[in-house]
Amino acid sequence: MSQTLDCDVVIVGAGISGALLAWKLGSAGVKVIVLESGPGPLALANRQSYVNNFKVTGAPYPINPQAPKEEDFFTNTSNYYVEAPTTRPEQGPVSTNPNDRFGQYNIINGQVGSGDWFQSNYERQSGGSTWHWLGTSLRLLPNDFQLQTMYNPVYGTLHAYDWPITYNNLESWYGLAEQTIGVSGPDTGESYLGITRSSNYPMPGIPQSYLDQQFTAALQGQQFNDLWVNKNFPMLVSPTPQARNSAPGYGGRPQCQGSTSCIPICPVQAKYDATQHIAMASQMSNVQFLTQSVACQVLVDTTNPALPITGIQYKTWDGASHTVTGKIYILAAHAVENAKLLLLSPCGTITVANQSDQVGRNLADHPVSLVYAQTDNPLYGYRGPLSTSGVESLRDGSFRTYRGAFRMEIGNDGWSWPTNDPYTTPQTLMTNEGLYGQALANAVAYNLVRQTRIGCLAEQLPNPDFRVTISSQVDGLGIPRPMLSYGIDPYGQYSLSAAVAASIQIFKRMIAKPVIQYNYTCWSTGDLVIDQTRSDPGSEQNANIFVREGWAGAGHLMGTHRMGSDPGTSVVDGTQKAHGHPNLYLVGSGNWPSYATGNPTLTITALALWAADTIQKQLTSM
Amino acid sequence: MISIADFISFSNFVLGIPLPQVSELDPNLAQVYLTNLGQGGVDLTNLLATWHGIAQQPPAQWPALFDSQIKGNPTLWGVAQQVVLAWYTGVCGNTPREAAYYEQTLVWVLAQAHPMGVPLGFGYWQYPPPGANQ
Repeated sequence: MSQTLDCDVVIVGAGISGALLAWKLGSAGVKVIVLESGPGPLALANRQSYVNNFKVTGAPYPINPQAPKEEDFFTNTSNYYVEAPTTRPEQGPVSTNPNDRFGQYNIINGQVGSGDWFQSNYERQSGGSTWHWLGTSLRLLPNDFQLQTMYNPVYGTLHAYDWPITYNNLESWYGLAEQTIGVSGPDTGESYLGITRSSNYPMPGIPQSYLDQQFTAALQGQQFNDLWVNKNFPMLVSPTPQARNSAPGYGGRPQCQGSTSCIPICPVQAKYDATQHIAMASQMSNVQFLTQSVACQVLVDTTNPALPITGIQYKTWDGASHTVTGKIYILAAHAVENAKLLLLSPCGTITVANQSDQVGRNLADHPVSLVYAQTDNPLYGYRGPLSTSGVESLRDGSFRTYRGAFRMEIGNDGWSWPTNDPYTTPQTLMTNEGLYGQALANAVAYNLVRQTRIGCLAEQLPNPDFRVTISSQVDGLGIPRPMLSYGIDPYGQYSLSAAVAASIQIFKRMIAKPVIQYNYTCWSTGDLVIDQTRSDPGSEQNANIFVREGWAGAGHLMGTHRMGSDPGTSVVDGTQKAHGHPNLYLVGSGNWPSYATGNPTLTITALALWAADTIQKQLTSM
Repeated sequence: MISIADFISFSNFVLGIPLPQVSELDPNLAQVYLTNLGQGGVDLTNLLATWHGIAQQPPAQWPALFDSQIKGNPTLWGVAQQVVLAWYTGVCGNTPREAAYYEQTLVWVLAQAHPMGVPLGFGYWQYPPPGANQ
């Protein structure tokens, strides 16, 4: 049976942005209704069942046909994204076989291969993707907000796009964000590359791992020579600020127990996730969470020249349609779902908030190069939080005129990301070397304590052809699924290429006789030659440094409704209000007009808190 | 005829028990893996029958007999690897590992680590594992 509900503010999505907005606005007495597509509320019992799922198959979270999602971890596969046939003329022929995943997808320079598709997913349940984020809480750099002005990168028709706000505008909100989600930060703070701070971290830093200490020693005095500008840049290992507890009790959470499973699930909730603020907001009588409620259309009054939003139509899992109305509407469903919902919502001859035709465009990620090695000395991975340090000193520099920057994440998780170890090595040693018995045990033990990886997050330029559109295929409730086009532009490819070179340089400091195995078949577009000339391509046998083919997704979905001061080229303004509608806000990393290299969640948090403040002021003036 | 005694005897040999890290196998866990391997589509009949014959010979001859009769037979060597993987990873053929026995899989012991997803305590990761021996 359908019904209509009314409140002050309607929020679509109970992920980190939606949870924080509900909590902040609810605390101010605002009447809030949150629509969440997935199940909830989710309590301790759910967490334990998810942890058990992880132990059994590696995949904690169930798949729901009414709120489907893209591929889950390991065995829980689900193809939710429809992959767009390529439309760009410079790309090669497109397979007409509907079952050919790679052939149908975006193809770069005519080459088809693994990795040429959008590899990041998101969770559709209360708490959203914070269930399986790493907890890395970096600020963006001042220059990240002004990439176009500072460096003017140009590749064909592609160029950067400045944010309408600056680091200084956001600085106090960053401080509040660190307090709100509970970030443990290094005692020295972050002081590299122009970052300034007006507040301290609420908790002391998480200790760097033994492995990090060996990286720090190996990188003593090391410089990375960038070939684009022929200039040296320091390679410095920095402790990573993380939203996990170094002190017991902050945010009601326990100390980190080093379970080494931050992704896909922290078993003790020492790491922040949005269920924390959902629980607090749920205590308020003026805040209501409607779960299993899938938004399917934003309603607009086109008879009013101001084009106010008048409601959100949604379907419950039983298939019934309902409407919720309010004074202000906030879409907080993440980059893909926000874009999908807007594109499903007619507004005269166009769709809601789309006078710029930018809704869904400029889809981006931080494509990750994975370089992994077996070092001479044991580093004892598979212990501690998945990452406790990174190399942040290469996130900015004059090279950004020519290639994207990158940040290097040092993994404490052995080869679990690139090869699904420690489960793979025993099989490999039996198959390739015929080992068994004590010889096998010795070899497994020797290898596992030396397995280490670096993941580099690369910077892309906004590309209007990488985009979310609407498919004719539908989900379990009959709602159209998103169709995605994606790839890596040259700016991003050159970033990945430099990142591979820098990673190899580091591992060469830890291996006396390095032998490198490359797997570049899917994107051998010429640029990599630059870096191969200073490496030592080796054979597969006896290799001890491995470059994984293609790239991995970082889970950082960005850019489908970018912010800007020009309504002709952007979707929201600097306050995150949609151009062309008086009462519609979009939040999350879909607002990012450029992507930099910092993991997005802290910036998403800061922007959500800022939006809550703005919306509260607007409400009092209505 | 599959017997738990043959399965434990074979497991001890193919895993190299006693290892410095593992002095003996848990017989209850052996029963779990034996059952799960069967359910996971791994037929142990021929492997354990062959092993039963080898085990009648003096232990000094076991490596050579294993190499010729089991490793030399691609089918039996494949099944033998499934037995090793059960103990190392908990995965038994097509049967996923059981949460209750997850912590006892050998890879974590050999890595001088702890099973992912199992809380251990704050800050231990700053130091090498206790008694690190590699």
